[in-house]
Amino acid sequence: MSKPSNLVQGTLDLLILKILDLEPRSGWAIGQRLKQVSNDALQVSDGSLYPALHKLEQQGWISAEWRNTENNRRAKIYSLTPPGRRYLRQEAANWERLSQAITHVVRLTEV
Amino acid sequence: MGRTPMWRRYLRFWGSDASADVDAELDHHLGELVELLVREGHRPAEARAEAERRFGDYAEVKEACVDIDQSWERQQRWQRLLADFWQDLRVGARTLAKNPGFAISAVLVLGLGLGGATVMVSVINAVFVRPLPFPEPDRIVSVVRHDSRFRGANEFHPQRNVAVLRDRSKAFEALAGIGISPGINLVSQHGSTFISRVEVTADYFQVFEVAPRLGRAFSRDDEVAPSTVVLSHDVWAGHFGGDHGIIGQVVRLGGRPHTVIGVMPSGFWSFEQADAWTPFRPDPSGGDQNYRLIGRLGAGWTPAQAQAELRAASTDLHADLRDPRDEARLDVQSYHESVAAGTGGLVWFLTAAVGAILLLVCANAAGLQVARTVGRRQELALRAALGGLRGRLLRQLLTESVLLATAGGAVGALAAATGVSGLVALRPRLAIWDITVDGPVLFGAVAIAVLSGVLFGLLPGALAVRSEAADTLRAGQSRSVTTAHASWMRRSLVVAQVALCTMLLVSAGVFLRTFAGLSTSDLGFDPANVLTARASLEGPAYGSRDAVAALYRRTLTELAQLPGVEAAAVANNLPVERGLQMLLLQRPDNRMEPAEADWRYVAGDYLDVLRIPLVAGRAFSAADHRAAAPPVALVNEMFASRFGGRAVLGTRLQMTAGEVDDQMREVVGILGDVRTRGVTATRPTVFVPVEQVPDDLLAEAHGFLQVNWVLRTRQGATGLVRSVERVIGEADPLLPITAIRTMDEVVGAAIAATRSRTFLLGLFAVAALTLAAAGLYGFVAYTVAQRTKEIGIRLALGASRARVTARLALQGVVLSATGSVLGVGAAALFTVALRRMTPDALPLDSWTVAGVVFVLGAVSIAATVVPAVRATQVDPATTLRAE
Repeated sequence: MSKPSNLVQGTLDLLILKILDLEPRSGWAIGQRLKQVSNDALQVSDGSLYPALHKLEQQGWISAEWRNTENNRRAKIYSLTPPGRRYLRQEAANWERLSQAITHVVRLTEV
Repeated sequence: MGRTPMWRRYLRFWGSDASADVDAELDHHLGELVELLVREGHRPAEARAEAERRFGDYAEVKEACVDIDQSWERQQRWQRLLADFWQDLRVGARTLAKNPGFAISAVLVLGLGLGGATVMVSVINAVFVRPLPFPEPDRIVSVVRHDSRFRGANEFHPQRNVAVLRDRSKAFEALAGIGISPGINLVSQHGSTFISRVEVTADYFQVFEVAPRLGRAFSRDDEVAPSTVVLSHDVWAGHFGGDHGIIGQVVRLGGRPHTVIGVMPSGFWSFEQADAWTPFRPDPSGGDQNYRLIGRLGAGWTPAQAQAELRAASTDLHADLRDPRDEARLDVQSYHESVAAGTGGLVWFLTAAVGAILLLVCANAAGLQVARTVGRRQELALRAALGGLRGRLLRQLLTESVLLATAGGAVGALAAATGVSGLVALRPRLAIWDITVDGPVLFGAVAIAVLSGVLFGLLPGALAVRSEAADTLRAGQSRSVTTAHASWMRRSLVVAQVALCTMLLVSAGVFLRTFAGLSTSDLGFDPANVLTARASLEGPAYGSRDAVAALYRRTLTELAQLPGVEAAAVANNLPVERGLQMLLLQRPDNRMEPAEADWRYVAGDYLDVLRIPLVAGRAFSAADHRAAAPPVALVNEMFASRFGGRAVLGTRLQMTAGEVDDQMREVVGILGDVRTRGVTATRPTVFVPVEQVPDDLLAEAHGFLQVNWVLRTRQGATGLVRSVERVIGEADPLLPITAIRTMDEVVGAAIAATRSRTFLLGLFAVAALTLAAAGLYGFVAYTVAQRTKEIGIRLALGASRARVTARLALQGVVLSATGSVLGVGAAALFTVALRRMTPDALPLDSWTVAGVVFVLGAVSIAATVVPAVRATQVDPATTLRAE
């Protein structure tokens, strides 16, 4: 449903975790950052972000806390948990290997 | 880090509202988005619409999030419950471990009590409740005969009833007669052995609707020329080694050839515990009263209808009543009830004991719990003040109770398993009921104990938790000032416990004394250095008194000459074992009232072998041991005392076994009484010389009882067993000796029969004493220890230690005295009821009562004084400051 079709399964999770690795953010801020770092190449509809966040929270990779933001809005702020950080490192390494392999294959066929 | 808002905290208590949470989160997102759009130049109204468009399907996103959150929520709740339970368990175990005295005594009390109760309920269930293992067991009935000459119902009918009723009655699908036969010699190509054989009419197996495993059951044709036999599974598998070619083989039973026609399936439940069944044809004019009558009711017949029909059909059948004033009638009753009645006395005693023990266990569990919980009020109040939830605290108490009960249940299961096998070992007759430890029963007993423990643990706990925590803490040392209510509860529990224990112990004491008094009493003969050998003389080989007398003459002569043998004799039954029960046809006092007596024949130097004293008159002389001699009899003192004491000498009597009569005899001597009903009782007895017994009465006697050689041996004589076997074997190679025992062993076996009951009682007594002492001590000691503070105040105010201790002791005495009085009263009622059931039981006696009251009093006073002394030893200042 809310999984963007042009994203490989699990990629969105990886991106969210990576973004949270730098600092805790609200769902809104995560969405903004996502657009920013991917130069709008990754088109994720705003709504689809949230089920992914809740799922990650349930899995224990991220935790949430209600805080007041600078403009005094009450926001649910997500942050990476220690197990989440380990998981991110492992998945990032996997992604690295996979993408290199794919890149390699793609170039081969072009020649 | 921001503070967790207040509302968020409440969620923990009420369960979070996932929907509102998600709404708040998504609202925040939309708000930020709108703000951004406005900054980018959208008009606010358009910005809102644009934000919602970019966001996507709000409802769908929300639903997905709520779903995820709720499933998580549920999972978390379970994990928390499990974690809490685990924590409760650990805390409970730690709390109990801190107080091992309490824990161990509670577990033992619960375990023994539950185990005992479970054994008893299992027995009752097996014997009375569980249906018999036959198709439609409700249709199986017994026909009993009420005969005014005997007390109560008589299961035994004249043979004539069997023959006539089965033809006349239409109420039964099958009506079968069962003879009694204690045993018979079985000789086959597999060897010779002694088995229990029962004579039945052809319809016997139809009554139970059980078909043989091999071969066939009896038909009426088998009755005509009775030479067939059906074997039990045990004998077939044992003696015959499970030989499948058994059908058609010829074996000798009591010397007569019989063809094996069938083998019953294993587990064929037979109250007669027979190894083999042989058919007999009931004689329409047969009057011997040795037949039980059982039947399977026809479809649609009730026992009451069948009874009415039988009574109408049997009016002319009571011809054996020679006196017109005697009368008899027939009753139809459930077969299950009539066989269970044989176990009745024991089982009803057990039933009473179950209730008492369970009560005791509950009272103990409750008492200990109340005492403990009251003692923990401060701890509970403190935990409540520190934010412990009431439900959580109660759950902790519950967990501890369950922990105790589970451990108690484990001990109980073990005790129950041991108890059941022990009981069956002591009472082999119970084996037919296939008693097993009942899972549901054990569970029920544990549940009752847990429930009472929980109830009594929770009630004061709930009170403690509910009461304003701060009050309890401030009153703090209010432990000394127990509320009137709690103190009333405590006192009544002590009184109830003492009363119950007293009742049980006094009743058990009466039983024990009854037994002890009898077992150590004078048996009336000297069992030391007497060897006995037993065999069955049933069958045609010993159908005449000449043959029997010849066997005795030959064997007694040879046995008497063995080195180490001082005297030898034969009796058709041993002391402490039952004799042939007969009616007096002619009473020595010439009166017409019916009277019963034991009848025993003897050969050889019977009085010398057993050293039975001659009280008056003369013993049998060599001249009496001749067939042609004038018939004489010896009687025992009990018999004499019923018929005029010494005046009985020179009088004449005649006895009858129903159809078969003995000769008219002159009483020539009076013997000392010998125990003949186990070791506990004596019956009026008539002794006659074997040479003077009519052939048909001999056959009758040999059909009922085996005969016994008895030898008086010199101290330390050895190798006699083999010599006895050789002498008897040479006289008759086909005669199996069924047992060679010393008289001490025979007496021991007789005592063991009584001992099983006594052992159980002893067990009850010990269990009751343990329960009582442990419960009482723990309980009283606990309540006194709680008053440490009060004791400190008294001491600080100048009371002397002795005075304070005495005061506490006095209170203990008052409580236990009240309990004792109630308990003794209850025991008196119980004893009266018991004496109505078993006339042998002794009445309540002052020594037993005094002993029990003394022991329990000592325990409760010790339980009061020891902690009191301990409390007074401490410096009052310390006591006051403590806590």
